[in-house]
Amino acid sequence: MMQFVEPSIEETVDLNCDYPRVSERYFTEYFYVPSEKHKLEDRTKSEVSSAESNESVKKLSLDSVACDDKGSKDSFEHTCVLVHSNKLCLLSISHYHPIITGKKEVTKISFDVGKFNRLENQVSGKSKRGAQMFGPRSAVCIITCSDDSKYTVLSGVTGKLIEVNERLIADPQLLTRSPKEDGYLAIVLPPLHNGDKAVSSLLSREQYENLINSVVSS
Amino acid sequence: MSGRDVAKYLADIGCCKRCILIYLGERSDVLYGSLQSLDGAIEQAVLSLDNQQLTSTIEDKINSNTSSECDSQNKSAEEENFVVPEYEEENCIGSTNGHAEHVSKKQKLSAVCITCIGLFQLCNASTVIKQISDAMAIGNPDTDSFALGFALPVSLTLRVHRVWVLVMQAFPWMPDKGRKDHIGTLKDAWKNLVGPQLEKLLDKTFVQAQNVDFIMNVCTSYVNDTDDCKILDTLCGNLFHDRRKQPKKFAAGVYSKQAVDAAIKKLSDREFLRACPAPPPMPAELIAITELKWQRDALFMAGRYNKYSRELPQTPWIVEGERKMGSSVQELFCEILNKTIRAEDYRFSSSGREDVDVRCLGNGRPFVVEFINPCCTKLSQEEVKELQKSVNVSSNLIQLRDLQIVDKKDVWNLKEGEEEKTKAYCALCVVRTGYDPALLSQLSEMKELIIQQQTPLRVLHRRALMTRPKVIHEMSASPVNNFLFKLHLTTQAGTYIKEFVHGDLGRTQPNMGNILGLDVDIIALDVENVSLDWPPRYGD
Repeated sequence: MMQFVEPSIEETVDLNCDYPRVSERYFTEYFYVPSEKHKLEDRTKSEVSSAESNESVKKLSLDSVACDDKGSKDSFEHTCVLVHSNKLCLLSISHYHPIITGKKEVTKISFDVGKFNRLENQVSGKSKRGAQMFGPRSAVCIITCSDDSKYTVLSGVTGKLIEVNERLIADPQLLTRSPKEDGYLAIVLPPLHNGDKAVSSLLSREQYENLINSVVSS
Repeated sequence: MSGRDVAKYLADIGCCKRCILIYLGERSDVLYGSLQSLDGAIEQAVLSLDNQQLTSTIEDKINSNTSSECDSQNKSAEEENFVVPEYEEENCIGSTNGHAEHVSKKQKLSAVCITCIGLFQLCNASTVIKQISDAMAIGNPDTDSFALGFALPVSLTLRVHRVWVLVMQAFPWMPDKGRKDHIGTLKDAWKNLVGPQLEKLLDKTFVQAQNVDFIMNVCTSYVNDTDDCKILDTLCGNLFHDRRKQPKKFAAGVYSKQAVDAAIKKLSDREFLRACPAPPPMPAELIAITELKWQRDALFMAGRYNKYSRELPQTPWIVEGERKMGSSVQELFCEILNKTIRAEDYRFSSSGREDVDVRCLGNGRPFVVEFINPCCTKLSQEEVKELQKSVNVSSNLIQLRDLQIVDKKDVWNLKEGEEEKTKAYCALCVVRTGYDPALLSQLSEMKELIIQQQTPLRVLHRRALMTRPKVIHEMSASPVNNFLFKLHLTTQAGTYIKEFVHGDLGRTQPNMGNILGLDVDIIALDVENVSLDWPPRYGD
């Protein structure tokens, strides 16, 4: 038998110290900006109905951000969707979310969103039977901060709720310590056969940054 | 009433000599005697039938005034006018699929037996024998002996049944014990007629035993099979009618073997007579061979493999129909082994598996390959060693050791050990912010650490969500520099090591990060040992 000199483990990989983090290795960031359809419907019904294609939806979301009542900076209550290479979606809050930008102290994260208690979610088997179903506007949780402000986080993606991050109940500040890693809010499994449909209505990091920049500078 | 009447009746309705013998109850090897010997055999069978009748009805005979002597005189008178038509055996034509050929030569046939549909006419045709022996030689399988397997058209069963119904009606005294094993006898007779002829052509021994590892399967069909079966529609109305309404479920035809057998069993002879009072019609064509394929017990090879690449999956990696990575461990060596084994297909399995970017070092990971319908099974230990060598020189991504042929009954060892055996790993870990090497010493003091692992995100899309307790038996770490350290660990099989190191976003608890109080990540992983003592090790 031919003998191989097995190289030592540290000789087999590139040892650069910029080694990407777990979240960077496996996940791609996307953002969900609620279209504020309901508010807009009151104002300009015709505009909404013509907004069918992706392009116009994105334009619309830009509008909605811009003309939000609360004023620009404080209204970025957007969901960050971290999409795993296996299509699983991790939900969190955007880095422009008022909780993050306002350096707020999170005092409570409640998964009881009124109509549903997300903690009651139970899945079984490979096909995750029995899961609560999420639409883009389904509420994931309600975050309460020390200044008594409350924020409802919307799912942004369609799919089955696999689990919520129960560690946030005992340690709500995990969310702000590590929003896009250990502080994730929930895991959603979009329908796997649907290709990239789950992501197609979300904004990429670049699109999202552009959107934010245009709002801030206007 | 005598055996001769039965024989005459069967001949008149169009049965061939061998079939007549089976009906008469002959079960010895005269059934596969030469064509010339059959007349004598029928004569013998008739006589023995008469003797049986004599003893069983001796009391009747005493009561009646008929003397047996007078009976036998009558018989000899009849002897002259009873002639079984000749059913050509040697010159008949058999063809697997050439229907055109069939039709053109059909006229040559004097007659086709109404019960075996000419099956016995095929058995001595040199073209048929050649065809079967050619099919048996495909791939040149290294077997010394062979058995024959045989599939008959359903209509043959039905035809035999119809003739028996008529025989029992005409000759109620006939012993009907032959009725049950008629088809079996017919198959055996055919095999025994064909087997020895194949022996001569192939230099392999024909065996009739049940558990032979090499079987030559002969599938036959009859062109008017479905037409023949149509009488069952009137007999058991709904069953086949309903089946026709589900064309997808019964795509292979509504008259399956089981259904026809069951239908026949259910119906009484009387019902059968009402529906088909006449003997089955003469077949339009001879039964034809539709498929010839040999099958053989699988060959199992076991061994251990090493994997030295971080870009090689264990098995072909296909995501949504698209292939990822060029090759796989499985393909790299199974393809080479199969060039020698020449099997129709193979199935690779192993004691656990490693990720595409994980090396498998040490003694390697035990595996088994099942070769399906192999041509070459007789390999000496030296030849197997050569085979292993040829794999090992072919690639520097993988290496094999302990390659050997194993018994099917030992293969369970592989999967048995999969969950309970321990595995040893080496993980290269990084602390991006730097760390104090003194922290590492605490790890070697932690023994039998139980961790709770939620199904890793990596596989959660295709596995159930669960929290599994796993045991880290032992750990030890050695620093590489201020940022990197090597973590050696032995764990219970099924532990996800990468997730234990980086924590999988907190979904594995505890993890290396919260044990050390640092943000720890994994850069590379090697399997260093899979502790399974099967297959036996070779000292190479």
